[in-house]
Amino acid sequence: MVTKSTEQRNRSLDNNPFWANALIYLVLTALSLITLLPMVNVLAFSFSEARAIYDNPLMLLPHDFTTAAYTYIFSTPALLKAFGITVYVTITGTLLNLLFTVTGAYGLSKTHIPGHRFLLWWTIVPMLFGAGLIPFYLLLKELHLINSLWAMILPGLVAPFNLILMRNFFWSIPDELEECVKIDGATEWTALTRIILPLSKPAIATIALFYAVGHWNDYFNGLFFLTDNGKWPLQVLLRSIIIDMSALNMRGTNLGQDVTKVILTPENIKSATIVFSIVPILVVYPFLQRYFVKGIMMGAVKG
Amino acid sequence: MVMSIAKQKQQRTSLKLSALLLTAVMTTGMMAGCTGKNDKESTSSPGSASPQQSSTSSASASSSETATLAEFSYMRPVWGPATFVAGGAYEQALNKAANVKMSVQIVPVAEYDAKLNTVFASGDLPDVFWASGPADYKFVDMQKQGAFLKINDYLEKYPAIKAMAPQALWDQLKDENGDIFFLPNASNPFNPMFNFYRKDLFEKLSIPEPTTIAELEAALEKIKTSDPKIIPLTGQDSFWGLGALGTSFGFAKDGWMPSKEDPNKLVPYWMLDGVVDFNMWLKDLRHKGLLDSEYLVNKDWSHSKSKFETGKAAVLGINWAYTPEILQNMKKSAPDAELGILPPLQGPNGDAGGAQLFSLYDRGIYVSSKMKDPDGFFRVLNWSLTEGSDFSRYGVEGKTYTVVDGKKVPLPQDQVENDFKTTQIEPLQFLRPIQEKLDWDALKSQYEGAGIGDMFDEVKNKYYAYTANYYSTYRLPSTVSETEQKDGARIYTDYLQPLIDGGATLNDKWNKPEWEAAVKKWLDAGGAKIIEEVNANQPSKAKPQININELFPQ
Repeated sequence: MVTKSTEQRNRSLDNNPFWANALIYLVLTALSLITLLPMVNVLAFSFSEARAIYDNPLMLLPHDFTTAAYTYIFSTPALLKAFGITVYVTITGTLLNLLFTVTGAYGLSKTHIPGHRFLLWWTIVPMLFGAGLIPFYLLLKELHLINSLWAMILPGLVAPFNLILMRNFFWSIPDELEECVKIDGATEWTALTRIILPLSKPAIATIALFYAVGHWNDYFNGLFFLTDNGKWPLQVLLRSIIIDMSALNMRGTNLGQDVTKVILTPENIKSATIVFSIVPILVVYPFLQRYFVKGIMMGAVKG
Repeated sequence: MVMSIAKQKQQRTSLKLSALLLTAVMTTGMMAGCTGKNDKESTSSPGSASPQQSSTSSASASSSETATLAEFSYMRPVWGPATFVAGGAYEQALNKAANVKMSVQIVPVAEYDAKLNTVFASGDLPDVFWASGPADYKFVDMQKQGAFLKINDYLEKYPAIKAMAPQALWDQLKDENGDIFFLPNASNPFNPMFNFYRKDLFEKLSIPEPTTIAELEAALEKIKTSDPKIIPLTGQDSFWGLGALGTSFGFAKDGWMPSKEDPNKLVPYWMLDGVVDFNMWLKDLRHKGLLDSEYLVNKDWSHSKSKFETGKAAVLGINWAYTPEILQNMKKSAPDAELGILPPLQGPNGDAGGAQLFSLYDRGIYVSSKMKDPDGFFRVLNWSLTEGSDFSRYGVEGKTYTVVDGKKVPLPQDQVENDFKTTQIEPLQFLRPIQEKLDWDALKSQYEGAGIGDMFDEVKNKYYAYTANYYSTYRLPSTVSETEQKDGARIYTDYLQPLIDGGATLNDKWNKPEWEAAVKKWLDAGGAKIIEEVNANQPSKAKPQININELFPQ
């Protein structure tokens, strides 16, 4: 089906006049470059000497190649541990997110269940009105979640937006499919796991990516709710490396330190940090992309 | 159909493999998340007193008082990367030497205030924590509610703690009853901005060293005429960049000073004639092409420094602490280049240039009134300023410093073991005496080590020349205005921010009459009441007297 539509698209491109195709390719190439060049620039910065960045702020290849910025990042003892914590929170969090979102959305998609409309609103209201940081902190304190890694997982266990996205997807699946298996004796659980979920892989992949990226980039919950810095996720450490190197240079009054020996500027550390923090997500993305695109398209048509 | 079954099998196998892989990754993640902690705990749990530690602590205690273990929680910001690992070798050495067991919580400085506010709201105050101090009304309010410990008695009991800040600072921190609740992180208030210039260029164009603002402007014009590509004057902004030039117009930026009409009435700096004149002068320089077109526009603060170092700019205003870096980088670009430092310039109205006085402290420490053993903390602080002073300042010999010719020389960070790097020491530090905030001997070694020792005397002389005439706010940090607390930020943003934060220099709309009209709107909107309250709440209108030669003798 996909192959066919691609062929149709190719044929329609073939029917275009040359100038139209040239324009399409030109615009797409320009858009690709606009997206890619800043990333290439950041990558080149991360492997360049600080001085060379000043002289060549628009480089696409490293100048005065060095891995000093990465050495700086990896020489911090807490970094690998923070990486492990982030991986743990991302994987555990995403799996639990999926479990609760999928089961919650499945229930909400059954419009014959009494009170389903109330429950739907119950999930939508917090999406529109947040309580604020301090009540949130107090709640976690009462739940004894302060300084626990669960503080990074449980509060956002079910994101209302993802729940609604998933619920709408389930809703769009014809009831007849479920009825068929139920006639054959299947339970709700069997219908969900054997029929609905296999059909929902694109939507699940989409929200899995949303959740995973959210956990991977989460720095706020770690910083505010974990008092033991030994439990901080990677992003808190990386951010402190970027921000505070800048602060060191901004002050310039710390006479106890030899500012002349600071050879790494914030720019190349910042670039190396950006590369380091986005690579894992970049690696995962291609595997999910197939489902991701399909999921969005299906949502657009049926949702 | 066969293909389909085969495909299904393949998918099932693939799913199983994925599940196995996920489990493996989760396990690895958990192990990575826990191993570090366990490893550390196996050697020494954070702050715990091992039998060896306890016996050593007791043995090394110099009195029955110091033999008592001090235990407290401690929250502080860190300026360096927040990569502290609790229970490291430095912390163990500190615990042993100071007989202390601390539960340390660090927060990157950029997020510290937000985190502190949240912790306050939860009522979970740490025993000892850093804060911005009584200049922020929130802390005054909490102080009045009894959240913080009164420390007057401890200052009398431990003279070394009192001696770490000048009396003028303790006086500033007293409330209306003479009580003190805040331990200031005393800082060097003298951090002049220098006006650097390319001496070789000035000599080539036969420009004598300017001594007044008028002479400087003439020099800038001559440079512009000789080579239009050179930026005659550059700087970051009107404080960190061209702040020294601002003093030549007779005001302290961000300060309160006596009104021209009534010397016994303090007014905010934007009501002083000199501020308007300075901004209009900068605007005029910009129009003539004498001021960097990126002044206040480029958000990268170092652009002006880079331009000067690479010979693209002739005069640069910047913090004096950058002298070694500027000189070294300048020599890399042009080995024959020479660096000069202008003297403080006399302004158009006869005001002598100099330095803006910074605050006498930068944050500090509060002790919770609920702390079980506050004397324990003061004992440890006192230790860090007396018998443990060298340990607190230099660390451990062979680990963080070496002794050369009888002097303690800090080891470069790349030669220091992980457990003794700055990132592992900073979270465990308290307060240091103000006298240590400017160390000429250390600076001289630094200049000599960098091969620019011949510049040191010139820098030192200019430092004292600039700081001899300082401009400071006359308003005490503890002087409060209720109207300012309520409406101050709003009316400043509504009426003054567009012109004060660079607008008057960059936007031709803002001329002197427009400036005065904006100030009048601010006064009418509540500014007049703020001035009235500040003056009523601060009887003394005297300029803060701080003697640089007493703090940091030449």
